[in-house]
Amino acid sequence: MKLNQQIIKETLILKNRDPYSVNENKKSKYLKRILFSGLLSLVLICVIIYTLPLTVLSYNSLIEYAIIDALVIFLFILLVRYFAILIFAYLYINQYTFKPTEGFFPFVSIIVPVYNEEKVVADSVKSLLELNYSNYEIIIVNDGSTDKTKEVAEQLVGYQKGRYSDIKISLIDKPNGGKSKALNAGIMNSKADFILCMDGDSQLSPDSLRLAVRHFSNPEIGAVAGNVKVMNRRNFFTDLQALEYIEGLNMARSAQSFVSLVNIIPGPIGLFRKKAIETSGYYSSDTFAEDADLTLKILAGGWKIYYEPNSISYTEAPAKLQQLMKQRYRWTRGILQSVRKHKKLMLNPTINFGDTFILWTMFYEALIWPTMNIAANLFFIIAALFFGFTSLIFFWWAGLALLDLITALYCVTVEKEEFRLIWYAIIYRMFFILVIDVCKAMSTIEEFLGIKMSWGKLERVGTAKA
Amino acid sequence: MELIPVLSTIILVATISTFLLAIGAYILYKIREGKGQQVVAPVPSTVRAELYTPAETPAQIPRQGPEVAPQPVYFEPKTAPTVQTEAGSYVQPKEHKFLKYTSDGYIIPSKEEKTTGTLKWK
Repeated sequence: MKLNQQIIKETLILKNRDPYSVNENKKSKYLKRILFSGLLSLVLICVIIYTLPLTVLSYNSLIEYAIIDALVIFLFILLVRYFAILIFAYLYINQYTFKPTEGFFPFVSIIVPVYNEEKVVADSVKSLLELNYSNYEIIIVNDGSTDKTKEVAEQLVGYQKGRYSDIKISLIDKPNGGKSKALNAGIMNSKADFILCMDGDSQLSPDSLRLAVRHFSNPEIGAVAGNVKVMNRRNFFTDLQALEYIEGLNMARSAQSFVSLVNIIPGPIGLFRKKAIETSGYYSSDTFAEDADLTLKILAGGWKIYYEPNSISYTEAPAKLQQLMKQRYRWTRGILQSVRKHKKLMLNPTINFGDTFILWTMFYEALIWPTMNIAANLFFIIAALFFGFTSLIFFWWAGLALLDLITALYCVTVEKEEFRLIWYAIIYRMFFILVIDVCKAMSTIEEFLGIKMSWGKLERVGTAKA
Repeated sequence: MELIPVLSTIILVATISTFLLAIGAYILYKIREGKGQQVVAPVPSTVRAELYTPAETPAQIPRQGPEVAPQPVYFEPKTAPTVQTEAGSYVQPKEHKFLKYTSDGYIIPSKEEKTTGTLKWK
């Protein structure tokens, strides 16, 4: 319910350029990279051709041994990765359950960046007014929407009745400049010491803010990552993504939180100490994963990042394969851009060991893992089609499906999620992950070649309700 | 017929189909994206934005919630209403613990009403 009041309209002058953007000749840089990698590959092939006759190996046996070695290494890494994540996630949940912290309720600004979200912005704000917290304000940032988002948001401006207090809602209407600039505009106009950044199409659970903000009683914590869940389920692709968010993303985030080194604060819900954002230089728009970039900058500043599993943000996941491809393409290239931006930290563990470790895991997840997965599947296809080893692919699938099924059961139980999602684990790795990995591999090649990309706005249906 | 060869064939076909589907979807995505490519305009150093914010008035005092709700820092306790006398000075009205409900609404019960009357209940 909106209260009667006067609305003040002010003009703001916002900085529109990144403080750290560097102009460089990208064309020659990529050309050099292609030439260098091509030459290196040629040298390697020449070494193999000239040295192979000196060994006992033939060309056929070399390929066989190489493939078997690669598969054994792949299987070993897969199992180590799986069990390491499971054990750390379990330890984190134990720590989380038995060390509760309460009693810290500072003033928080919630920044809602919107771009063509006319169908969903009102629902997002409605979910914010239902928060189990009284000391906060909402700042909507309209990033030059071309639909009626501004009109819808303007109707929301004023003091609105929240659950425990009247909540101030402001609107910043700015020309289109991307999500990072919209978030920066909101952060710079906020007077709070703590900032909650979310997506315009996301809806928060009532306890999300209260549970996340309490971790800031520890002055070392620079940010808290929330738990993202898929809102629009009951569709084949969205159900698979719901399982992926629980099993693939949240479990990994729990494991990282055990050492307070969460590598990506998700866009739909991230709570920050304003000082941490200011010292890190705000959101940058030189990568397509501004959330990953800011997280890495905060970690590099020596801050710790925690994960709060009960701070839930419901988001609309892509319902079509085409949209899913668009999203994952942006994620992969964005993460690679962020990793490349922080390559000094990656190569020098003496600066910040935690950051170096996190950067290598991101590099592995974005580049090495998809390549290995695709290579393994191609190997089994070739072995079945050309050498008649058809049963190999079955045992490979059965082993992975069993592993995924057990992990899904654990994750669904921990998060008190829908039990029906577990059965998707049977096709999760052989279908869903393979599709995603093909997209990741292609995106990596494009990033390596420096092909231009655009943000690509996902079409929001706005029918899903939390 | 044995089960494993049948399942193996199904998985093999499914894996090959997945590969083809993924590559096809990716190519389709790139074609569609390529059609929508636009020329990037130069970015100005500053932009003008408009801020719409409500005027802060004393009416926006936060309401007190249940115990679970955290108390805001800027909370001001409500004070009792004041009444104006003929002389123009403001005095605090006397607080009454009990009020009597009549057809005209709540009234302050007088001592006479308590002691007089035809019926008395014990």
